[in-house]
Amino acid sequence: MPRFRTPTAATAALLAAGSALLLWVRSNAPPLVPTDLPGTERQLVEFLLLLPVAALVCCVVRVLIGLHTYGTFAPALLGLSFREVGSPVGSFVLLLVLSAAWVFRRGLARLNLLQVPRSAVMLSLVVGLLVAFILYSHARGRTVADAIPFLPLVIVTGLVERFWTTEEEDGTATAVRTMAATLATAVTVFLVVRAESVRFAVVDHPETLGLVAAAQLLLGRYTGYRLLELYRFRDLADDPPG
Amino acid sequence: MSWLSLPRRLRARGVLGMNARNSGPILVHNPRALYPLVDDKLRFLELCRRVGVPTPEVYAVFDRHGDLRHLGDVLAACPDCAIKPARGSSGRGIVLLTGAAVGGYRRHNGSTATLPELHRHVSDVLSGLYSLGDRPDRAIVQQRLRTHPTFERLSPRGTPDVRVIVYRGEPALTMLRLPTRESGGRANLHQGGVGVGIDMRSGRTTRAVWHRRAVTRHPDTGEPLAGRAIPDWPAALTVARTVARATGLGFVGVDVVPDDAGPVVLEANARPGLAIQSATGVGLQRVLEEIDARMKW
Repeated sequence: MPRFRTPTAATAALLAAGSALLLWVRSNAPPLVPTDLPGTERQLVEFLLLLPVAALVCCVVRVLIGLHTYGTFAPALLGLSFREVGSPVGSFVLLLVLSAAWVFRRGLARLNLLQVPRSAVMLSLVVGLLVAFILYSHARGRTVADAIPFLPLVIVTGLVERFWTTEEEDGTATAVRTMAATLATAVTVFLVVRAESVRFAVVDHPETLGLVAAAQLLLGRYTGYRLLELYRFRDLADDPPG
Repeated sequence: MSWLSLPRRLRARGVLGMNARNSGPILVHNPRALYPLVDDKLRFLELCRRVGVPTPEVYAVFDRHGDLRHLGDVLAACPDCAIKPARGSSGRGIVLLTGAAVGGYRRHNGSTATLPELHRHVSDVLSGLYSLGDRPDRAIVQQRLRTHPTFERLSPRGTPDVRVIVYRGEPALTMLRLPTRESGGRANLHQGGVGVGIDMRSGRTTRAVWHRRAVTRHPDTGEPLAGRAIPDWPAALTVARTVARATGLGFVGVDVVPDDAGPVVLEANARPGLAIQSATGVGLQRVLEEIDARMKW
């Protein structure tokens, strides 16, 4: 099979080596991200540094496993937003927002709206619901701000829109399956970026970004079968080669 | 144990995986700049016209929401038609109408679509809901191709088409795609259509898959699927070859509908799916390597 020959492996090795060298040289130096960085800046830096790791998880899910999700990197952002969730209330809120958005979408379908304004209306309705929930909890004497994830609401409404069209086009089973794959990927992203070792490696030693990029490069040239393809084509494997 | 040997056995059969497809034939033989030629059905139809390949007639094109007020007039004049997004994929966003009905138009699946519903659908199409890359799109109102008499009993639920994968100008694998009740008149396999492998030399069907499993009979009609001759087989291969060469794409799926008057080209796909391997029982990678060897790359 013809393929462009590329110096991918060499580039990846170079990146990884450079990254390792930096880590070794700086092993006794103060951390790159200063400890006295103000809280909000620190949060931002953390979010930014974890983003490539989350993207790497999405690459693995697509290229090695073969799962299809709504939006390539939507699970990455969703998974990162789970970090702010302090309690089960957060996942309850996510499910609430998803089902409410789906109900809104159902109602809006009757109104013959153009696509972009329709998504905007859904966003407004979801925001209204969320704010009402926060104020209601406050009135009951409870703070939920910690529990409510800083959900990327634009992505959540996008998910519902994609779910809706997939349901109409390919049936409910496919739509639910893709949604399950999306949420499972998001949870995987969350579990990975929450791991103390990952946090330690990426946030305390941003030099590891080179290793992450090297892994992404190698995945970019992986041409083997995806895990789910082994299942998909299993009947072909049993035929006598002829 | 047998699971662990699956990759090796699939490789021995020459099965092409998605990653290999994307980094091999597609990246090497399909220059990105040529994609719009097949992704935009209107440009593709124009290309077919230039090389003298027959395509379904276009009744009307909508490219602005303001023009939608004419939709009623267009449908009144041509109530038997297909409404398609110009840049759709996998049969998404296609509505097939078979004629006028009380309160609207009869859809291919027997239900009735009212004019406001069709209006909204075309509006969604223009907004890019079904478009590759979510970009604003145009809607085409096009002649609906009839099922060839040969296939009438085999496939009463919609027009079957022949998918030809053309590699470097040579047909590589071919299958017949049959719509089912479940696929809603569309021939796409992942929407529940039946894929029937065609032996390229004889033009006769060999074996079939439905939902990724081998089947011998059509799930709706019970008609046997193997051993059927495709009408005008050599001509079907010729138009596929002509169109593929005209696009300049080296790895392309061309969809041909056998019509009474000869094969008609429906559309082409720069990212053809891999299910054709299950339908034919032939690994695509092996066929591509054979063609490469013939071409002395």
